[in-house]
Amino acid sequence: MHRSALTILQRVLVNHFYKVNAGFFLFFFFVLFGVVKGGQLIDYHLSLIQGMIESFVFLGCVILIWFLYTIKCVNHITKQLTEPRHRFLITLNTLSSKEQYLYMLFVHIQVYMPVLVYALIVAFIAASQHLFGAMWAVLISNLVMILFSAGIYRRYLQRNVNEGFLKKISGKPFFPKPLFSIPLWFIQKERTPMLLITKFFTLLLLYGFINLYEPDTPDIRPILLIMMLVVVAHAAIILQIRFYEEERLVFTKNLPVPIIKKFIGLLLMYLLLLLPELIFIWKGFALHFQLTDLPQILLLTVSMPAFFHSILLMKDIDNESYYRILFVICALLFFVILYNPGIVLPTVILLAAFALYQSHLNDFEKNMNSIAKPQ
Amino acid sequence: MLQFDSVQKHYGTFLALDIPSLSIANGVYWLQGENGSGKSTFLKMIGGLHPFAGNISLNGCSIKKNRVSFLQQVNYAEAETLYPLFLTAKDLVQLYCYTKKSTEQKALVLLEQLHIIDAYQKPVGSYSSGMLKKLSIALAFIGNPKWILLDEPLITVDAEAVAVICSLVNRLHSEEDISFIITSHQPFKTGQLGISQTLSAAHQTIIMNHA
Repeated sequence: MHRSALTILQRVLVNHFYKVNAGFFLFFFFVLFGVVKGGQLIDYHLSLIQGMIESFVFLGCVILIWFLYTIKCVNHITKQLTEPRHRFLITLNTLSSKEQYLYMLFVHIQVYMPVLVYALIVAFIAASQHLFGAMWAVLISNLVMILFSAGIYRRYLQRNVNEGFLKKISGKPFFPKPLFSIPLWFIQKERTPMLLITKFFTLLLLYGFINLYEPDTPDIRPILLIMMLVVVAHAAIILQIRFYEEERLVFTKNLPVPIIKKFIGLLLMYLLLLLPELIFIWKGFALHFQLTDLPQILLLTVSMPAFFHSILLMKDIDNESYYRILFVICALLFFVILYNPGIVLPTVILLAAFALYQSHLNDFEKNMNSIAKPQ
Repeated sequence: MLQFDSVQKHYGTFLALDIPSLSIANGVYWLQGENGSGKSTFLKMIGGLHPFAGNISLNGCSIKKNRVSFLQQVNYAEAETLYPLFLTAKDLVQLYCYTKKSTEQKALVLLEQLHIIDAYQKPVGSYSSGMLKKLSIALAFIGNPKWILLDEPLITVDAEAVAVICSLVNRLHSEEDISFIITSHQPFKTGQLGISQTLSAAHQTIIMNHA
């Protein structure tokens, strides 16, 4: 393989992948390495890996996550291969099919590297404990996913297919699409891996919390903190929605829709997005919260993403400052929730969200230079 | 009448447009100017897409104070509109009809005249650039606007569609007193469009060219 070709593929496809997914990796880095103290980090991961190699159900869940990540990679790279600005890569068609496959394998291994390294560590530990079933499951599943992915890339390279992988396999739209729902359709159709991974993580979080934590008397505060984490886990999706609004929904600024109606639409959109989690927490009803607590949970779950969304309407907010502001807000909310301020807290968040929204919506102007363009 | 008072548009620190005072009476206007002279910016400000300093009002209705009422009266078709690729023309027409308070039937007639009715239920992601242009123009005619702003409506569309668009502009102006501001680098054929007057975008401002 030629060094210059590898460099171009690295720059055009691999670097772009990591650039647009910086927020996604930051979030998972925090989840995997930021939640435990530095001294316990290795023990934490060793016990996590131990759980994987000893329980095939757990391992199955992990392989499912790796599979979702593979879909994310495949969708991104195939989309990039169909971009008009990347048509020059067709020149690789002059190479033999085998060589093209090796180049695409190189690309996939690069974008799959975070999973691959972790999977190899898991396989090594499984082998060292003579748990060969788990070892082969990890190795074979990863090998199959890697080889198939490279095959799909080659197919796109050779046939010059003009649409991304997920878009190609998804069906035609059947439902009416009111204005507020359009960003959700976009997330469902064009950011499927991100949506699936987020939902998997948040539902797992809720499942673990409801099943492992059993208070003597119902206490609303822990469930509010968990719902706050659930909303924060959607931070990358909220960012994608904002970018999409400025990229594809600019025309709606010419539509005579009152601002209050637009804001209600925003709340409805986030209600729909977080509906699976809101339904899921019913599992904790009576044990964790009472019926009278429901308005508080509901309002917090909807007002927080609306607030995050409104922050992105402010000038000069880039990816980094957005995540930094989110971190500060969550740190503050953590302490406020501990004091159990009741319905006042979500009401204040809602009012703050509306104040920001109505004062910045029509003044916002696309200045996304500092924000990495989503894939 | 469209009235501009102390309108300024900055991109960062760069002053793109400065219109101290300008009145545009009803009519069909051809806005001329070089690339980058501020034509699209001018239309985007009136269409509500770009924030600006100062005020723009239509028959006394200010976009700053009464945005919804203003936008009920001003429709705008961008030079290159980007729509969500998975939406169909039907989705967009229904959205425009709902917000601009109109019926689907009128839009369907126009889409038929522009020969894109066959693709009505197809996602716009499958449209050619010419079809997208026709769709964006058709959407700009939905509702009961007093002004319609068309940014480069003639590029990428076929000659037959140009004739349909021009005759529609002429008819709507004479029969319904709808006014137009049209930007175009292509000159119009003699008598094709009943231009009342021309506007010029130059030196970071917009001026009326008196005949």
